[in-house]
Amino acid sequence: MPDSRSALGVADSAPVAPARSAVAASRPNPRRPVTIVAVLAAVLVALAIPLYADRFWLQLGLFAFASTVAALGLTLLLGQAGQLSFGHPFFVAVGAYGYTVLASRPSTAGAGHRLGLALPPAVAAIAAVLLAGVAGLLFSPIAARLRGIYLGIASLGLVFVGQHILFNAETLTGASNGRGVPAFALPGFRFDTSSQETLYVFGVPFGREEKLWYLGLAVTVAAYLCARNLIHSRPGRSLRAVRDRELMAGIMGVPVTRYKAYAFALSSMYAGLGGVLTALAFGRIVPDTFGLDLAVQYLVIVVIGGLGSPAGAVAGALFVTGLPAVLDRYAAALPGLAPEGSPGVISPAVAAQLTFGITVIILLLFEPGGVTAVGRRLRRGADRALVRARRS
Amino acid sequence: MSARSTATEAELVVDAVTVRFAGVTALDGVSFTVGAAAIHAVIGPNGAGKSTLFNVVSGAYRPACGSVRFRGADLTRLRPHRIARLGVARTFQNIALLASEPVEENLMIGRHRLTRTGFVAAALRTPPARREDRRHRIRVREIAGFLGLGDKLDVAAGELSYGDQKRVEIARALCVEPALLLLDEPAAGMNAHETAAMGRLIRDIRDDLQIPVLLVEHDMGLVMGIADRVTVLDFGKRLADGTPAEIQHDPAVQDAYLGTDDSDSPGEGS
Amino acid sequence: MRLFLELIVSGLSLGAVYALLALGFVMVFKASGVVNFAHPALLMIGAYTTARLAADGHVPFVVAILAGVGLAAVAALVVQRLLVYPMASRSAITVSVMTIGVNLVIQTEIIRRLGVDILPMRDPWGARVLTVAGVHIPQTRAAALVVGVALIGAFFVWFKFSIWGIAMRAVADDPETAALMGIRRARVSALAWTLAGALAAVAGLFLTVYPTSGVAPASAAAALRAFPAAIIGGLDSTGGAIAGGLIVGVAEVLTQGYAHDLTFLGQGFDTVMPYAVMVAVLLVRPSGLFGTQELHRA
Repeated sequence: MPDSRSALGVADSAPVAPARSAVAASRPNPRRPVTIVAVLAAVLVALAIPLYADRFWLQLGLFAFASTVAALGLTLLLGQAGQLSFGHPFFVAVGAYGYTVLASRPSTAGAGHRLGLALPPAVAAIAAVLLAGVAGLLFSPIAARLRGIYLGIASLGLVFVGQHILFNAETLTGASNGRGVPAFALPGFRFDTSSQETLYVFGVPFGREEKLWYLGLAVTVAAYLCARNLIHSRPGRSLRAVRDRELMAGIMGVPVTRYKAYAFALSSMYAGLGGVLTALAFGRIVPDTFGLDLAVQYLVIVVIGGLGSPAGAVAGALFVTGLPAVLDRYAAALPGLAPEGSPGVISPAVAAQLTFGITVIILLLFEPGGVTAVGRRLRRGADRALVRARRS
Repeated sequence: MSARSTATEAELVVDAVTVRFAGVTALDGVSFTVGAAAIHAVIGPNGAGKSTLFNVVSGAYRPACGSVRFRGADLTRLRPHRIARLGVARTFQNIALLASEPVEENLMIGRHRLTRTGFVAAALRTPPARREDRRHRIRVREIAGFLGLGDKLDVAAGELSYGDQKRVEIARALCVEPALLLLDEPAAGMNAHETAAMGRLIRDIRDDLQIPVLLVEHDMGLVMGIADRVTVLDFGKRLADGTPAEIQHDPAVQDAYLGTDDSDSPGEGS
Repeated sequence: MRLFLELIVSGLSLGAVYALLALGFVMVFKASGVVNFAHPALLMIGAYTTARLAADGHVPFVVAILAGVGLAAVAALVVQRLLVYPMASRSAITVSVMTIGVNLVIQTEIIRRLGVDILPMRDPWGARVLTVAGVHIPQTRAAALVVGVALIGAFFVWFKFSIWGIAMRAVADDPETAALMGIRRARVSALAWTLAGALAAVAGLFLTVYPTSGVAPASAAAALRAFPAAIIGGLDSTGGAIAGGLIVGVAEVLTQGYAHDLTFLGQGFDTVMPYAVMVAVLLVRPSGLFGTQELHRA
């Protein structure tokens, strides 16, 4: 309750002039026409894609959704809480393997015994996310006590220790052979290609990819909205205070250590959710996926999108997931590129990696706000053009 | 809130506080008390230990020995955020604002201890979270208006003038609804006119809120003009403690700190 | 007992190599406040250049080494001048993340040049083994130990007594006062980067000779173990970097040597051991063994 004993403020309670300055424009304002049009268009396109796109694009979309969700967690951690982490793949793996183990039936066929709890897939997914959060909390005695940059290096340990576990805990993970991922299902609806009855939507047969697309889209939109809400709230603000002025934050009443731990656990839960989507998108998961390369990939996504920006995480994930696949698909048609294996030429994978590295360097040098900042500029330009058009 | 009993009762008790850094004794057995609704100034030359004292009271440093008690609660072993929960608020001499965030958001940080919204409620934007946010923004705008910052709520704190940033610092401390206010050199870098205005502001705050104000300040005119009591520190030790008049006539203070030259004597220009 | 001794000697020599890496890493951090995630790339530049020249066989091996060391040093200097220096006003995390991009670009290019092959070092030591007092140790490991100790010794003498060494310590202690004293931080930082590049190249040489088979994409993974080494010692302590390097080297080799008794830890735990040690140290001392503790509590 605001304290009412003081005359403070009552002494001078002249209404605050609602002068909105230039800074206000940088805060997202959903009511601006350009924003509304853009969001509506994006939603319509996203909903319609399974009706038109083939498997290749849908599969790519599933990976993009998974990357987006995981990257949202990292952008909250790095951009909002100021903690650098390479440990993200570890928590993605906890989500991916957690879901797989919890939802699978136990088996002893073939390669030896595999643990499974045969939980309903939806329950398994939620439990996997929580599991990732708990794993994050377990690491937080370290995470919360280290300054941002120390954490960056310490979290390298998580990736290597995590992969070591994945390669060795065979009954859980299937070691280097990996494990098949059970299909997702909600009561009365399975997200796979059914052999008995095919679902048709507008005459298009809906198989596994089409169904998972909508699941991925829904999860990603929800994760995005939660991230955005958090940033513009008490915990988000206090996290930024901890990031920029740790001492001040503590003296203003923010429990600094606990907040850092929460931020780490939160980002781990995002990673876990991204892991569940990754597992569903792959259909089979192997330890090699969850290595240092993935950590770098997430960092690249977050930097390209603009540190701390949820919209940037979406854009960055689309770019980073999409580019290698697109280059690969059109390698023959692109000058200077050749399919994997041809000697002396740049392969699509190499071209993509070089692009990512150079983009990161250039963006951080010249536009640390990332793609979001570039986009904001363009949007402001578009707004101005719209106003001008209306006037004339 | 219950009515306070007497104005003379000691609310903040600093008792034989000693702080050492790697062999240097920054504070050496310093004791003093601050009465309810008193403006208490701590003065002394650079390096006398004034800022260290602030950091001990607000919990940033843990003293080697001695204790700090506020309204009966021992602050010495508490971490800063626990001390903040008791209503101890402070400003920072070298301004600690989030430069890229609007003034309003900076002030909302001061509301942290008075608000509840956690990560889950915030992520889901639950109705209670939205109500709480709205309610506290109203109060924050009131306080901003009181400090003449009403038209700057949307300006990034880093874009404000130095003087305005100092006022945001004070406004943020007031947003804590403090039970004890610590002001770290509020008039530093201000001209005579601004300093006088700051003095009036500090008095108004005390009169309105009826809380003790602990003040570290270099400007003698300001200190002697508004303080009810003054503690003089020199090389980490308490040199003198008393009313401004007593301090002005204390020979030890005159010798060691203020010099014997009349023209430098405190009280002038207040 | 003899196995234990052999492992300790071997571990110390590997540790000396890690110490060279960690030392450069810490030096860069102290002088420019940046955690250089491109450190593995510098190592790869050095090792690849040396191996490539040695494979061509036109120059003596010493010249190949010098070329590798020189190129890595120049590359580090270029990164500092071109990319790190212009970002001086930005947060340390931002600059550090930028070096991840640098690492990505350089590593991708070197791995592209390597292809799927392993490029053998063709060093004069080969796989020969020395026997001293009944203890067997590969010549390469002995050379690593000698060179590592010599370079570390030289560094500390230089760091303590030369003008540059004093300037570097001054900048690390208190950049503002150092600036007032006329020390140009940018120059000190440039020097630190250059030295770090050279040291990384030397380490790269010893990480790709016997018992390793040569320069391969995986060589950079060894360079990554310099990170836990630096953290264990304390990111802002040069002495700590040496200690951390030795600890990591010995821990790794011991785990490898006693792998049969440690099967419960899973296969290949030696590569994970440095990180396990690091996590253990951080739990007890968040600033590493010799790092500066923070004054404020929050």
